[in-house]
Amino acid sequence: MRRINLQAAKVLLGLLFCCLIPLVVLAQEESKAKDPSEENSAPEIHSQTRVKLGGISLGGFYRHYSGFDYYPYYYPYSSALWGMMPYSLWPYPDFSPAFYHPGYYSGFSRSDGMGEVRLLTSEKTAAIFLDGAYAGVAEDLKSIWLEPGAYTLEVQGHGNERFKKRIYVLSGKTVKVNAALMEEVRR
Amino acid sequence: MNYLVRWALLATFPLTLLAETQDGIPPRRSAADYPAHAEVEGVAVGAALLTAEQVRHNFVSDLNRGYLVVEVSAYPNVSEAIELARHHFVLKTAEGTHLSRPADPKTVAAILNRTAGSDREVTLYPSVGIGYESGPRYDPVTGTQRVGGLSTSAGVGVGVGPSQSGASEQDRRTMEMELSEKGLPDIKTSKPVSGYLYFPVTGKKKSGLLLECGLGREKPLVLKLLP
Repeated sequence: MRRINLQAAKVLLGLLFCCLIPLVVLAQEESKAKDPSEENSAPEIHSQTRVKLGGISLGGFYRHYSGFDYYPYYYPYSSALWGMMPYSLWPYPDFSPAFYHPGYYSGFSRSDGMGEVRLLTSEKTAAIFLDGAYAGVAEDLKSIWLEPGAYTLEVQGHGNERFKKRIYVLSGKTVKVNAALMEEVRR
Repeated sequence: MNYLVRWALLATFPLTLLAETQDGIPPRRSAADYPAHAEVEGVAVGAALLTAEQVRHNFVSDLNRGYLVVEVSAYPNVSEAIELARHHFVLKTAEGTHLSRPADPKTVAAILNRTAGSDREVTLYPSVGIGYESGPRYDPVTGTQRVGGLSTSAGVGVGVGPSQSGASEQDRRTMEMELSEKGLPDIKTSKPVSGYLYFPVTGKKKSGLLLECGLGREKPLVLKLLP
């Protein structure tokens, strides 16, 4: 038990030490940003340093040795198997780009240089349209990653309930859209 | 002759359509719905200075870095069309000294894009691992036998580099589109018009600002801006 406590203390110390590195980097960056040599005529805008979390990885393992084993790690995947990934055999249905948004097939997944649209709707089964093309249902599209640009987002609930908004997506930024469905009055 | 008239009508039809199209934002019900409003020579004008939070909520472009955003609406009399242009507006201090004129959305987008390109980004990737090994293990390097036990690991990956947010050419075009579409249009109209004006500012002079609206009239309207 005492040994476990010691190990835990080592982990905490390690994390604390590693967290000091970005602080030192930040301090250096700030000292560079204070250089007054470059002045702009119009608005006075200083460059900023942003700190973001790339992700947290947590790992755990249990390993048991029952004898001499030089190579306990055997790799079950041979290179020949790579070509047989299920994605390459995925049966894409026929689609017309006029009705389905290209992102519909990629699941609007994250990629470099993209921006995120976080969509909040009251109706989970509402249909989502981007620039008039079908993108999917609301419950599958809580987070939509798109190329930078302007889009017309449309949420269509059951009946005449609709929400329409022009959205602008910038790379690395998140736009939150709260789509309150309102009944459309048709005359 | 009829042939010529027909062609002239066909040629002018798209122009009339263009003349009617306008950007901007939907105006509020009346000028009185704005914190600052006044009326002169048959034109009512309402204005509101957006707070930093409102700017963040209404725009994806980072206008809080060097710009003041003012929402302006003009309500002309139905009988009289007014000519509205960005250069009719001037931002002044409470003492009446000239502060700035609204910036062109294209210029604002270019400046914000350039600024975003000079930003730095520090990305952290922390990792923690814990494991347990049991049984005797022969170490082929040292030739000794090791008994299992608890093993732990911790680390942080740090990535430092230029910011990728809002710095690309596509981003600049998007910002330009957003600021133009939401901006107050240069238009001659008899309908209510609304849009945002982007005033470049240096320092923090947000209190007691005055918005002077020329609107081509002899006597300009002066509105005390309130958020």
